[in-house]
Amino acid sequence: MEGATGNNGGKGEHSKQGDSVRKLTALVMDDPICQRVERALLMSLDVEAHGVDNAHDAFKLLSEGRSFDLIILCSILPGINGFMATRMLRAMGVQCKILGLCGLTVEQGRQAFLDAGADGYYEKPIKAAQLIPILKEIDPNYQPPNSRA
Amino acid sequence: GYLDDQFVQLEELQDHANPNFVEEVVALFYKDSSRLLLNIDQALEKKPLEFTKLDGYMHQFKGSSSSIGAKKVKAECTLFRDYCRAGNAEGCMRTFQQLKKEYATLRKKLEAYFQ
Repeated sequence: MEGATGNNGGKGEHSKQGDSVRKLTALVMDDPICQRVERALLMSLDVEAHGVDNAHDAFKLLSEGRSFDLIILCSILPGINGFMATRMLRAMGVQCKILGLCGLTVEQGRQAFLDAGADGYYEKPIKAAQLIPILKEIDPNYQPPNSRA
Repeated sequence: GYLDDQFVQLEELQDHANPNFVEEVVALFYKDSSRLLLNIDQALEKKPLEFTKLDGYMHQFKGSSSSIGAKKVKAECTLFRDYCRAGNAEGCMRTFQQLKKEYATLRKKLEAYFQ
């Protein structure tokens, strides 16, 4: 589906130091509290973060042509859970990094996310130190705000 | 204490662009907690207990408690989920009572923080 894919697999050509910088974008799929915190964290890392609290709204955004560099989603969502949502995102052609989040680390949850096509899995609350390497994988030119000269 | 390092992270995320961030997140937490605690209370009155449903509610509650750094509430959520997985109804009931106490204390501490 056009517009549903992530950006260029992290080759970094969209943001270069010294040039006009395009911010990385992220979609957070989580309950309102966790979403608020996760979005604030991403924005503090200079990532433009959007949030939805269910998979249907995410699919709608993507089908309207929105694309994101990163999708972060909770295992528990109303309706379609995070594992199924991940499978469906990949089936839609979404190629960007997808990270699964869970309230409790359990091996089954981790494996379920990875089997569904997620690139990583973290226990909540996700931290800046966990996100920064991912952002650098997406864009090798990415630098977190505090590290910039 | 009742709040862990995550609460400090929330304070650090508060800035001129988000001057009331901590208060907003805590307000969202209160609203969501009230709903979840009511759901769990009602679910604990059904016999036999639906452990999967209870586990699901507590999974959500643990996630949001973790996000605001509610350390003791989070610990009780984990214990409750262990009892759910073991199918231990008495353990669930006992832990839930303790969780409600910890939650009430947390709210008092947060109210003092915002004054």
